[in-house]
Amino acid sequence: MIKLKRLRRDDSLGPLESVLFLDFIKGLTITMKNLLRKPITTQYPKEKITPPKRFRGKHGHFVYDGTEPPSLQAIQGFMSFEKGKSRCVACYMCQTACPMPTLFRIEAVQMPDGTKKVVRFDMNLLNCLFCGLCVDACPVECLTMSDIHEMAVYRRSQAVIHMDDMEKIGATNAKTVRELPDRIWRNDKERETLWGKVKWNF
Amino acid sequence: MPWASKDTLERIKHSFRQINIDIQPHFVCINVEDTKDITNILKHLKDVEDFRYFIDFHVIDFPKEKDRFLGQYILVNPYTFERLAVKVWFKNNKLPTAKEIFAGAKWAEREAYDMFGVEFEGHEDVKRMFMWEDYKYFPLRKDFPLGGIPEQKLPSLTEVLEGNTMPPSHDYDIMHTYVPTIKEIEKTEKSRITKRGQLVLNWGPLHPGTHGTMWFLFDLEGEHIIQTDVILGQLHRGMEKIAENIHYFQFLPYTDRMDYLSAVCNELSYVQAVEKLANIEVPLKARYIRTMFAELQRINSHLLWLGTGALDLGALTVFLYAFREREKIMDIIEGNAGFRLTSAFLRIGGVHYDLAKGTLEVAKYFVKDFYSKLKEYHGLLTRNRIWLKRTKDVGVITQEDVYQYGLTGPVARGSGVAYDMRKIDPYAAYDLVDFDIPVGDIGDVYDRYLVRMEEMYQSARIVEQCIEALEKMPENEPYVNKKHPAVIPPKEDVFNDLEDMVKSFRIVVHGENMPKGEVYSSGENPRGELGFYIYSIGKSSPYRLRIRSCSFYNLSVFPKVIEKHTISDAVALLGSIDPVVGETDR
Amino acid sequence: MASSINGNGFITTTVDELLSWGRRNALWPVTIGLACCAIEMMHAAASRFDIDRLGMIFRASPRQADVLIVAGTVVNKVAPMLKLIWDQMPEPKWCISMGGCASAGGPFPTYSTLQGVDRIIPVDVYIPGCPPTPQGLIFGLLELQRKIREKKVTRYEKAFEEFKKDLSPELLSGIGV
Repeated sequence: MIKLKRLRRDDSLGPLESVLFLDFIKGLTITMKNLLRKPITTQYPKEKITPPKRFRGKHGHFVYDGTEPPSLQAIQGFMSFEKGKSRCVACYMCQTACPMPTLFRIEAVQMPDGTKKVVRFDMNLLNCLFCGLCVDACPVECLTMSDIHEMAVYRRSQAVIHMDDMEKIGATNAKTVRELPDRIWRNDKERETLWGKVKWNF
Repeated sequence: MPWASKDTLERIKHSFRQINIDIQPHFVCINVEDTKDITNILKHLKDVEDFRYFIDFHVIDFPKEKDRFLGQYILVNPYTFERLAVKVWFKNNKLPTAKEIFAGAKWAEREAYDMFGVEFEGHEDVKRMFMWEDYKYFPLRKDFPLGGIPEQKLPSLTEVLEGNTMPPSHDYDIMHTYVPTIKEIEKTEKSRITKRGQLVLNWGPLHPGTHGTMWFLFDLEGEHIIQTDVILGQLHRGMEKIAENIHYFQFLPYTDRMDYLSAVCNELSYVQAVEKLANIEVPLKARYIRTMFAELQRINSHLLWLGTGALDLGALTVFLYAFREREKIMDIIEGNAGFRLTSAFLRIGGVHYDLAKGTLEVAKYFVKDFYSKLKEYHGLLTRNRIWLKRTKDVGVITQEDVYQYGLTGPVARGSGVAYDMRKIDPYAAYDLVDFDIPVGDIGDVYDRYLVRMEEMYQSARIVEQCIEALEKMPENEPYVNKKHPAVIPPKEDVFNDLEDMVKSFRIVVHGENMPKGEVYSSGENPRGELGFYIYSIGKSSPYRLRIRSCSFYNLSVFPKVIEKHTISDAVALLGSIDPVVGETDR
Repeated sequence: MASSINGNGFITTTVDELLSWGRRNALWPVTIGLACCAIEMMHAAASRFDIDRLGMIFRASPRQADVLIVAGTVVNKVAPMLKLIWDQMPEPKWCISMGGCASAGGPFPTYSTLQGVDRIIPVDVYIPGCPPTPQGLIFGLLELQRKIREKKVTRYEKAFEEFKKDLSPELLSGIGV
């Protein structure tokens, strides 16, 4: 049974309304009420809005420092890691999961003692969809996305990121984001200019 | 119940001898064996069996069969809401046209000619829909590569000016496909309309008044329009061809970018189609979360329509007030999915993450505030005499137009046709919440305005009911169906459990083979019915994915309605049809 | 007198700095909004992140504007029309390509997409993102202002060179140039 609601159209003005311009006066009172409210502008270079915990910004690599998940410890013997450098195992899952086939460029070499080492990891951010499928596919919690969203450059070659920038992001920015609680916003005070005071239950 | 019943199929089988009936769990179709019979069958279905509502027509390419192309019509009975598909093979690449029976087939046949190169008897002098007139190839055929055929050398000018010879990135290619010149574009423009009046005016491809890059040609006599034509294709990105080369779960971020104003609703229709094909069941919490976000996006999309539609007609303050509410909804979506506009939030089998802490309080606060803001918008516009003069009795669309051209959404509901996929074939959690459908009766621009304002109020009611249901659920309810073999498990399981890591590896690298078959499923977008047709041959990427876009068919009624009106009425009518170019051109 | 005006003396560099301050604080963009990035551009112009504070007003006609912000996917069919709009803008002019699709073809490597708008127009600032947030777009506009401050208005000097070529030598020596 479909519940319909036939709309009521009162589409012609009565004689009192059209002579005294009551429709214009009603509209103008609404505008005047909005004039007296506080402005909701965030003045950009002086006040910034920090993105929430789940934001998908510039990519980063977590480094090998002792906080790895159990899935990395299973294949640790086959790789040669250095403390402070990235923990990528060159499984190529991120490259396969990405909808764009030419975005990643990963190269790994075989060391003389039989282990593998990653030498090149380039990503072309100008072709990226920022969908997060590569982060979901990484099995050892290496690839991640930080909260950097200010990425304007002057030349096309500056928009390609390499492994050393990603390690720096992973060691500083992405690490702070990982430790945060899973709340909807990070900083309530910045959002109060738009929302007003929100009552929290916890 | 959406597909045709057994009694109807029996009656049709008695009237015509040379047909086969094929019944699958989510697709019922009639195979016509002789190409000459198709016109009689369509006339019989329309006049006698009442399948008079035209939904779609498309073509599939089988290069190894004898007759290479297969055409398919989808029709609906608007009194009992049954759906039926009719298939017919092309003979020597030709088929009798259907534009005398259903007027909406004219644009669908032009698109089929553009993409596949087939011809129609009775539809002479058919023009290309998306590409320019002298384009040499037919893109959606199976032997045409995805990247096109690179023909000319076109380097990046910034690199040339700086004198660099090294390529700037690892995937940079100097060779590029052919870019047309201004003369070829002018030839396309002149071949579309033969001038009968005083002046041909371009309401141009890059104009801030059209909602995107559409190109209108008006043939004017004074200020009144004699005939008009629409040129589309200025945002044709080839999404149907991309879908044939990647896995099912990788196509999800591309569906966001079609109707970019309501991204979650598009994803919901696509994910429903794949789940019906593979028989995946979605847990209850995920259904409520999907419904809540889809309704929030519906409010989002209608607010943008209000802001830009009023801006075109001169009411400048409503634009800024509507964008203030849109920022609030985008804050809620950003806190949960991670991105404001194109959030890839849904996954096959559920949603990506659970709700973040604090979402329900913020959403409740928003909905309580929204009712008073909606009253303010009504006070500004609904009984204002300037608004009434501009929108009353302008652009009247009759019920017969709705059936012939295949209009859906608020455009159809404003003319009295109560067609809403949320009530006919309920999906997600729409059968567990309570809401009404507003329906108008004259069908002018003012009616469609009232229908959309009332829909915003009903969406806010649905969001309130979803919040109540989600608050009562226990903490650790599942949000994705982990047991099905085609669903990628969430991250915590991949790190700790070896079986889940192997399963994730298998699905990402090799893809999960979906069962063979066909499915057509549609959902209710804010603009109409968005349908996905998938033809699967048992591999991990679809053989043919057809996107039945609502804005494409809604826009095809524009040239008929606008005759003998003035240019200012054309602006008001376009604002009330509300097309989005990402969806008309795909 | 002639040498101090010709080779960068005190008067010409101060006038140059005044001109570049004026031009960078009042950039007027043309509205070329093609696809999803256009919606984020509208959000940057609405009340929460107002770009009218930076002096930018959106002009509909290219003959009254100085910056072309290309927001959205550029398709092969639209490329000659976009080049026509760029040719109609008077000097000095700059170009910003917003989003992945306009910068390098983005996620659509297909038969009908132009792989980057810099194949037909020289671009000054590229902004990656799909779509970039409004704060990212305003950061890109501030980077363009920094580029104008550091490189001065060189296209103005090029126009002055052309102007000098049209005049006769006696007239030029009369003004002391």
